[in-house]
Amino acid sequence: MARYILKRVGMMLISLLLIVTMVFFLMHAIPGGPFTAQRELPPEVEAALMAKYNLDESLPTQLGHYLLGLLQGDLGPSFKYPGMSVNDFIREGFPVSAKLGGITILFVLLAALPLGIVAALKNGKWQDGMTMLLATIGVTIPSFVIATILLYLFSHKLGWLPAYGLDSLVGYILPVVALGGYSLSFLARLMRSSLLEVMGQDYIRTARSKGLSQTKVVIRHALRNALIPVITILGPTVAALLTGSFVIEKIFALPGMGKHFVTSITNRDYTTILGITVFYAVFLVVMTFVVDLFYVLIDPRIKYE
Amino acid sequence: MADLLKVEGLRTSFATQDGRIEAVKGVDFSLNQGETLGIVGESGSGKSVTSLSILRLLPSAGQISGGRVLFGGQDLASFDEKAMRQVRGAQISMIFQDPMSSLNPLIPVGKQVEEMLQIHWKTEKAAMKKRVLHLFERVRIPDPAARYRCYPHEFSGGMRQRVMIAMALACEPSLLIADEPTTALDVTVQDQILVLLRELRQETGMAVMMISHDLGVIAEVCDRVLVMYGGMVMESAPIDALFENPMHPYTLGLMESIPALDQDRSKELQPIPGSPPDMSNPPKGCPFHPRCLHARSICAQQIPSSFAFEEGRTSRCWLLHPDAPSTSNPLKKGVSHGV
Repeated sequence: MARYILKRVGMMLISLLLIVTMVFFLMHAIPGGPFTAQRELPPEVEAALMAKYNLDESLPTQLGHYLLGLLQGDLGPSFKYPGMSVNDFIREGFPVSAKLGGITILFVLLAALPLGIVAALKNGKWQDGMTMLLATIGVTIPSFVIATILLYLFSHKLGWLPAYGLDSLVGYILPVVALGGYSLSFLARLMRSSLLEVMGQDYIRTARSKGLSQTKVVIRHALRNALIPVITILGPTVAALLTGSFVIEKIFALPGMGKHFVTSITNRDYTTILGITVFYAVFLVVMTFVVDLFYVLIDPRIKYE
Repeated sequence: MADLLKVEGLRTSFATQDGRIEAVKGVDFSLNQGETLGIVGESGSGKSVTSLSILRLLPSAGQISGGRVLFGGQDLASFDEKAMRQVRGAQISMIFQDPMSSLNPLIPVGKQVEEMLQIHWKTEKAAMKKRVLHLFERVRIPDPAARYRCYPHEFSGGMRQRVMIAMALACEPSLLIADEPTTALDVTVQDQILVLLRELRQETGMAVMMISHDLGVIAEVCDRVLVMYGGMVMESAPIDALFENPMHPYTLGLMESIPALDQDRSKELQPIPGSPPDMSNPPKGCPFHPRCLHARSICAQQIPSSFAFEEGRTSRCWLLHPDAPSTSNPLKKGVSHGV
């Protein structure tokens, strides 16, 4: 097991290196640069700026510099916001995004799993129909539309909930629902189809033939088996929710780090693009690894050498 | 002797997109205490559905639409779900075709057997574990204490079926339903399992209902046989009588399609022509008539009734009707004067 973990960590580092390299060359392939503006800078000023940030060196050299910094945990200075480093962006934005994301994950799990289970057990009945209708709406309607509708209804019309700000726990309600709507619907559908499939397995018939009640059959024999695909999806979902969403943070005016995913690209803020991507990628590979470790706990058939 | 199980006019149907399909169309049989009854038939003949109907373990689309299932004199079809749960496992237990998929992959095998005791016997934990180890020994799983903690994927097919049998026997049921218990196993393992089942039946005195598509398997363990086709019992007979003198064209066909070791190689096997009936659109009259070599005009019009012509034997075939001609009648060779 220790060897396996070591091997996986090594693989993760290689993946990250590949991701950084690819993003690095891709972003340099986009026309323009951090100092391209409508009002052109005098050539001397631009040259001085380029020199200051080492942008006059060859691309491989720049990449080397960046990787060296990365090893020391330094994501570099922002090209667009003088005096700010990418580490500052993350230090400021991540706690906000992570708290919202954490609450959203809890909400999604507590709602999606029971809904999916009820829908599966009441397959074809109205409970199933209602859940699946809601879930289809949740998967198909984009989060910004959901957010807008929620804001219009609960904030503007009814005045029950604040339109922005996270000062009180009440402020979290709308962003959490808007942010988690998609994952909630997706996971509920997945839970339902997975449980339905498990309920059709031979060992469920065996469990029933033993004289177990339906509830005990589901709890003791079906749920653990049905959770395996759900856990697979949970890894990337957790990574995505914790690192924030541009749209939701924009709509609810939240100071999270989601905005950097988009603005850094339009700004050609090279270090920020790389830094935010690396941060997200680290989350993603770590979560995937955690999911793989979870499999071992759940499924005795899976063993890692 | 008292009937342990008596099935009367059992009908089971399934809701499908093409409407209701009747998979079992009025099956009657009875099973004595300690007797082994074989049910043989092709896929789709209704043999598995019959057994699942007895325990009311049909998938949700299935439904018993008529008849009675008397077990120890009580009609199981009238039991509510809770009463039924006390019958399942405790009085009637079941083993299934595929031991690979019939055990929960995430639970150690010992625990799965122990669960049966937990449900019905509720004794102390240590006593239950002891009984599981004893059961493992009885079904000849080597090194029970070590195997107790193993997971199904660490077992071979034959070993898994032994676990299933240990589980089925845990609460000393009076009836064991074995639905194709050896079909998914290697031939040598098949034989071991059959020998084991036969021994356990002698030790415990339980009755066994053995479902198989393989006449050879039935011949090895059963006292009596039902031959099913198209959801009906075509012939029922004591095992030796059936092999000596099959009294239904379908049974005859089955026998002729079994290769024998000492058979003349130049002689070709005689398979039954055609394929089993489409149950969503069953043939009118006798379900076997489109494939029957001896079919007559009445066979396509009316379902024959079951003729009892000898002690313990019935056959559902128009050829046995008293008015049927005896010339070129394969069923009236020996019994023409006996009917």
